[in-house]
Amino acid sequence: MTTLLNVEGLRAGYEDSIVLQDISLSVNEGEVVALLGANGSGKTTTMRALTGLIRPFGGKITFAGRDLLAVEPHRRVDLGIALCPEGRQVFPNISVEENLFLGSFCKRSRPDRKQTLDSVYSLFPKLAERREQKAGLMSGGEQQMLAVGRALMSKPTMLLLDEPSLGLSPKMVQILFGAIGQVARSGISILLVEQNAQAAFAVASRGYAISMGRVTASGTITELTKSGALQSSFLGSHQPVATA
Amino acid sequence: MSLFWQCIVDSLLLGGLYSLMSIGLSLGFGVTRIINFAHGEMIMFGAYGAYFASVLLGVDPLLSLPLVSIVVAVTAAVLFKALIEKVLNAPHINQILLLFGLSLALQNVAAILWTGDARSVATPYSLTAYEFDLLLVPHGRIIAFIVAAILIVALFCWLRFSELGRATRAVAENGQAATLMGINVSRMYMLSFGINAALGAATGAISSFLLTITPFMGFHMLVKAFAIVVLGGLGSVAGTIIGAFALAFAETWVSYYVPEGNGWAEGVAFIVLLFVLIIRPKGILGQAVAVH
Amino acid sequence: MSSLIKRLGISVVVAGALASTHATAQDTIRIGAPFELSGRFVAYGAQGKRGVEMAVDVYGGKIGNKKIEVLFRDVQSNNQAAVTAFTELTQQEKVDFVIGPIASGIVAASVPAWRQSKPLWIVPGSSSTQLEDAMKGEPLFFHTYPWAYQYHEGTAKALADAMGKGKKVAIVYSDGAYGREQLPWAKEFYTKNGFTVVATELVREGAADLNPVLQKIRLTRPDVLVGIVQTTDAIQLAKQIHVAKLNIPVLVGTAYPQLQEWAQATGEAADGWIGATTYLPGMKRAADPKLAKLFPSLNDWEADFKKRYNREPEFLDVTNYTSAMMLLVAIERAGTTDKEKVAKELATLNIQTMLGTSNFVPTPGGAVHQAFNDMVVFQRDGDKFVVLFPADAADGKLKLKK
Repeated sequence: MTTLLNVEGLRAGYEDSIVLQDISLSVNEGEVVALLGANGSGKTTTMRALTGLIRPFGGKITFAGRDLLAVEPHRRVDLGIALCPEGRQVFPNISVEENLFLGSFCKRSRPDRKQTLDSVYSLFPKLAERREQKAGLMSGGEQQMLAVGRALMSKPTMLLLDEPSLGLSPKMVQILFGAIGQVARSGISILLVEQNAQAAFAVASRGYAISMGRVTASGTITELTKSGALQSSFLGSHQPVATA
Repeated sequence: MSLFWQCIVDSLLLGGLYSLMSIGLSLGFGVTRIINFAHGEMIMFGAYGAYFASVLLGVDPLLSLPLVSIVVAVTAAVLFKALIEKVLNAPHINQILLLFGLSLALQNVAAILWTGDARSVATPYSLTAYEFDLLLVPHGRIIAFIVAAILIVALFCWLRFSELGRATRAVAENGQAATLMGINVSRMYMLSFGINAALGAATGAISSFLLTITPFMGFHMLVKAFAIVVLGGLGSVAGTIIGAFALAFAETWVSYYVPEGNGWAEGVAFIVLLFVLIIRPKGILGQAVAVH
Repeated sequence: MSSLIKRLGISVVVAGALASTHATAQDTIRIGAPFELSGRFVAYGAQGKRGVEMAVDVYGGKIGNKKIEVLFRDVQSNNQAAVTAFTELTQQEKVDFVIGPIASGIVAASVPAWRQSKPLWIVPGSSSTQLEDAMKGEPLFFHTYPWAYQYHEGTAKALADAMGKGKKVAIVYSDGAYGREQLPWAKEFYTKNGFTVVATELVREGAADLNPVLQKIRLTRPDVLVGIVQTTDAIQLAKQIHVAKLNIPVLVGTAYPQLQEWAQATGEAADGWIGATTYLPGMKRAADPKLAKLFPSLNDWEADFKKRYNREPEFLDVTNYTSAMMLLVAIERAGTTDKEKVAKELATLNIQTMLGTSNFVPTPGGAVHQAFNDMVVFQRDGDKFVVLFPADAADGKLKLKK
């Protein structure tokens, strides 16, 4: 198994606070890895450092053998690493279909746009139904599907998902994670940040627990569940999620 | 009653000019969220460009318009990269001071280069008109209307259908998400600023034969364009068009039907603006704009 | 002992230095020249500077053995800057003679600063009658530019002579001191000369479309249209009148019909417009018999100007040259830089200048010294100016526009 993404000793934060003290993790090709932790533990900050929305203070990030920190933020998606951000961040006054077109803005993904679009529509039929609608008018769950679909439009080898279950009804979470499972089976590696551990376990094979900017535990899902490292209050919703 | 149709015609023609005058500002603001106080000077340099092309090379303003617009756009993009990019994340007051200062500097550069003499291009069509019974449609103004319409439709099509146009709209809505799509946001800012300048310069080229050219002509037009952009709704290009025609109609009707109307027709614009903002703060078609 | 000698020596050196600077100060004649050298009115200020510089140079740069020093200051076409410049010139540089500024608003703003020390003040500009009011009875104030009403006084009379009584006049006037001040005068003079004023329409300075106003005027079918606007608006006015084919036979302006800049900008729309002025390029004005070098014939002066500055002279170039030259002659004749004595000389000069005779007379408005009241009314005919009035200078008849 080749390592696709490798993070070593990442230190990052904002103007007056260091959020990530020392984060080290890795994702291998074809894996779905979960990053679990409570609010404020540094999950989103990690995602932002990976996509270049913030510049870390220290540490190394390697993606597909390349030093990711040497690549400008807007160039990273062209390398094959795509983020579906926390809070969806769809373009509200732009139609669903155009949102998806924007997902394939990067040069590498543009030629196959038509085909990629078709595959996203078959993954999320709801989006096909609503293709002309302004994205801001859709429900939270539909917007989340759009955000995932948009990230997929860039034909990534690695998909970063930041709290996809946030604010969604249990039914939506089920549908969404079913789709995420399908994406994983198609060969795309996934790093999944979640508060909803149950949902994460349904698709992930490995996981990291982070707390206060450090990795406190890591291992397969079974190991993590058994070890009790996830006992703290962050476990969030306990709805059972059917495995995909 | 005999003035009624003339009033309609005058309003429409003026609306076309006002639309072109403000649409660049609207786009630039919608994308970069910086109020381009130097917008008037882009118009002014466009006017001088067309004027000198006419006087020195004998080229009609309509023909020199494309080249003049491109030259002004490129210069503006360079200025953006060199100066304005640095205040993108600075406090608003810094942005205002920089652009206002740039505006003053440009006005006086023009005054030094070309003196304060008032100029105008006397093209053949700026002195003739169509006459239908008593209805007067000046050639210069209808040509200006057509040029404005072409440029505005072109802008709309570019925004709607082209890759970069779509990217521009995305940046206007959410710069961070746009970066995630692989869009180089700072380059898009520069592009929008350049388009703002190009459309301003095009307005200037048209103004060269319709209005009077002076180094200080820009400020007056900036103020009106700004009122139009706010009236139509920040971030909405279609709203700007509506705002432009609304203003043109208001001004023209007051000029015709109110005694001494022309004297304060432009004041009417601001009264209308005030009312609209009280009743509907986001303007006619404004969108709720997320703070970056 | 040696320290005493040292102190003595230093005092001598210092006294000598002071004495020599004092003497040097007496060796120059200093004239303050606040002009609009930047900003909106830079066109006026540039002419002011050229006129004054040329006068000093033609004069020879010296009066007697004293060097003439002109302290130019840029008032930036801005009221506040004008006050600052004026104050600096009079309080710090302590000049006794000031020439300029030119634009009406700027001159008006300078009046309070002038009152602080009341130098001898020549204003080769500002047609505003408010200035005339403010300077009522001031003996050190010399105005070498027509008052606004003098334009209308001239044109109304000239047109009455050419057209007869009972004709209709429509007046377009600009929103701002310029238009509003002149409107009552224009109405008065035209009515006095037998015209009926059928319309007065206000236009905003810098308005984008004057057609509404013109269409309203068309309905009144006037014989004469008077446009009381500044040059920038006059360009648009002339063009839009031409486009609208108003078929008004006589079009009258104020100062602008004589301006090259207006004519070039309006193209064929300029043809036939009537204006009044004290200076027309190519006019026949002879040199002063006694001071021909300083006050040459208009043709000779124009040629000299063109050689120096490589451009055609304009109205304000001539006015400022003439005003400055008159001041220099007055200083020479007074034999002193005492401003009261110079004022006396200036007031009694009787020189044939390019703007007419230099006699300063009081005006009905109350100003004590007004020069150059001989207005000439002309009509544009292609590139030429045809003088219509007064009769003894006329070289053509009024042509009606078709």
